[in-house]
This record gives sequence, structure tokens and C-alpha cells, in this order.
Amino acid sequence: MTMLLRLYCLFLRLYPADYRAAFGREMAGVFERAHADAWSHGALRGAIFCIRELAGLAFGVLLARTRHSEFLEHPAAATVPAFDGVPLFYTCDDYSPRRSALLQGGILSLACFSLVTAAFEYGVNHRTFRFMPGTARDTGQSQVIETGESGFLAFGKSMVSSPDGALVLVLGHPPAIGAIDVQLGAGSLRQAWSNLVWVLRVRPRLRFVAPAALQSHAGVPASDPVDFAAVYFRAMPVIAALDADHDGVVSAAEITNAQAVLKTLDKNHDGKLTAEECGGSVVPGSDSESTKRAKLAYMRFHPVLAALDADHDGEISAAEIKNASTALKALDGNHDGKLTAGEILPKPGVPAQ
Amino acid sequence: MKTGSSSTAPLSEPVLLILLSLAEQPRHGYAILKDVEEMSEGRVVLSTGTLYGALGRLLDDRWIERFEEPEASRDRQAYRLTAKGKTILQAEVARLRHLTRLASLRASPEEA
Repeated sequence: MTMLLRLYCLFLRLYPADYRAAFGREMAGVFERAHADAWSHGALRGAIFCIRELAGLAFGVLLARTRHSEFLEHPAAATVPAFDGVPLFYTCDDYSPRRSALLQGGILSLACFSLVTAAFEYGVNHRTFRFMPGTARDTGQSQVIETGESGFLAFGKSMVSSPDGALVLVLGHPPAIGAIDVQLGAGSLRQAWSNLVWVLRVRPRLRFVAPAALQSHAGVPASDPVDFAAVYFRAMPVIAALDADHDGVVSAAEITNAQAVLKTLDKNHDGKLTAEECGGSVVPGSDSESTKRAKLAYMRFHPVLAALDADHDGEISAAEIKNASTALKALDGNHDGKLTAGEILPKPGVPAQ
Repeated sequence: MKTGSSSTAPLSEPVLLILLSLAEQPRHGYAILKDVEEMSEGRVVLSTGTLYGALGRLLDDRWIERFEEPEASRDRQAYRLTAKGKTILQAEVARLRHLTRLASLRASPEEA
């Protein structure tokens, strides 16, 4: 008996018992033959058949349960053969399970549901993603950075912020664009940044038209100018920490205070900052070669991190933290004593050195 | 019995096709399903739920009857028209013929 037939027999149990006794076996037999016939004509025909059968069953059950049947009320008038003792069609028999079995089944179902929910929750909070920036290019509509795997990280015009604080990342090549919401709640910036990177791999095939995505996800017309730099300043953990007054500029005073600020990001107090502590999302505990490359690529991709990590070993050491102010001043291209978005935002076309 | 009221009402297309299928010869469920699809050139495709819903109503109304085919398994009960079913079918065919004749008289001049 195929899985579909078993399912069909299960649905037949929704019919009244006398209806099942009269027609159940016949219906299953007809279903089995019609099902085989439909699938022999291709998967599409098979799928349409299944949908039609489902709808027909729902309608049939409704009808059988709401109308009075004289034929079923007087089975003697019909020529239904007597049961011959050979139980060929168990699932359509009128069978009621024991109460204890129902109780055990309920407990088992609850346990399974709890396990699945817990696993889902764990998965959400412990994402395993390796960020691997690869090549980069400018498509004109948006600056797109291929992650080296199957996703895209888009900056520039493709990243917008909505009035409610949600960050929308528009992915892919125009006009095939995907949009992701990343909630930037207070106190969850690191998680938001992690999410932003995580979606690149998990949801790379989302497809929306860019204006529709911008309007539906960010609530802003696509034609409106959007301050993308502000989004980057909020989402990137190191810059968010450096820009203490959140004015979108790392001022001279904030540059001077960089050493103290960076020390606050050292969560494990080992005196240095790893890619994870700088906002990179990597596989926990993994030390594979590809993960190391991903960490290095992450540290080199963001100009601020690349400047701080002077020896480009993928970590900001204690000495480099101590030298942070000097390193940051090297990014001040116009020598005005402060760092603006133009000096800090990643340049997708030219990987930071 | 509700046969009195239902016998005067026009038949739905699936019911008419089922009756026409059984008018030719007794058939079992799957054969009716295929014959209806064939007669309607694929336009009317019945699901098993719909088919047996209709067969149940026709059995209730005594328009068809179920019987056991010799040398057939128990899940292949056959159906055939009763005398009452034949009468109803003939009345419906006459009604449709009348309608067709009327339509040809009234619609043809405009088309020309």
C-alpha cells in the first residue's frame, strides 16, 4: 500500500461509519487505480490529481455528514455483500482506539512538538555561518559583493533603514532582487549584524522586485534618498562603539578614545579582538582552514578593521589596540581630523588592504 | 422520498454524464470515472469523493442500483440504471433536445 493510499484511507475515516462501510473499500480501489493512471502521465498531472482528490474528499465528507441517506439507512435493500472474514481494508473499518492509547499518543505528540520547537529555537540562536567575502563589483543599481558561496552582500543603494528601525538588505542583481528584514532593536546590534551576514547564505534565492521590496519591507518609496551610511554605522559593531555619540562621524575625540572603546569589545578579556568580537559571524569552535580564511576576509573587508589589524593576521592584538588612534587617523584621507562615512564604508570594488 | 422533487429539476452535468455512462452498460466506479472524462473530452474530471457522493445520491433516489459483478472482487461493485433512472434520463434528454432545437431556431438568424 503506497503512502498516498494510506493517507487517503486515513481521510476516509472522516466519513460516517455507515458510508465507509458501504463505499470505503470501493473508493480506495478507485483512488488507487486513478492515482496510478494520473502519475503515469507525469508529476504535474499527479499533483493536480492529488489536489482534486483532496478537495473532492472535503466536499464529499461535508455532504455525507449533512444529508440523510436512505440507501445507507436500509442496507438490506442494497446488494452489499456480507463480510467474508478477510480483513482486506483495515483502515476504513470502524475502529476506536483505547483511551490509554489516546493519552499516550497525546503525550508523545506534545513531547515531539516540544523537541522540534526547542531544536528550532536553538538553531535560531546558534547559527552556523561562515562569512566568506569574495569578489566584488558595482552593478550600477547597487554595489554587490559576492560572498564566495551562494549569497550576496549588498551595500550602497541596496541597504535601507525603515522608520521603525528595521534594516532591510536588498540582495541580488537588479531587477531580480531579494529583501531581508533585520531587526535592529536596542541592545541587539551584534545579533542584527550576525543576522545580516547569516541571511546571505540561508536566503540567497529570495526574489522580489526592488521597488516593491523597498516599499513593503522598509515602508519607504524606492525613489526616496536613504542614508545608507547611518545604517552601516549602526549595524557594524566596532564602528557603532567608536561613534559614541551616534552622529555618523567618528570625531577626533572619539578617535583618541578608540583604545578604551575597543577594550570594551574584548568580551573574553584576553587582551585582543577576534573577528567574532568585531562582528564576524563564524562557526563556533571551528578552526578549519576555510573558517580562518573567512575571518581574515572579514577583517580585511571593513576598512576600519583592516586599519586596526595592522599585521593582517585576522586579529586586533593588544599592541594594535594600543595603537588604535594612530591606525584610525591613517584612514582620514582629507586630514580633517575625523572619519566620515566616505572614509569608513567598505569599497566593494577594491578590497581593503 | 425526495425523488419527486429531484426528478423534475434539470440534472447537473456530472450527474447527467454518470447516467449516460451507465445507460450504455453497467459499470464499476473507476470505469464510470474514465468514461465521464472521455465523454466530456477531459472537461469533467470527477474525484472519487465527488463520484461516490453522486452515486450515493443516485442510489438514494433509486435511479441506479448496485450489484455484484460475477468474478469481480469486493471493491468493484458495479452500478446500473434502474427503470426509474432510464425514465429520468430520457426525460432529461428530451428536455435538452427541446432546448437545442429552440436555441437553433432563435440563435441561428442572429449569427447569420
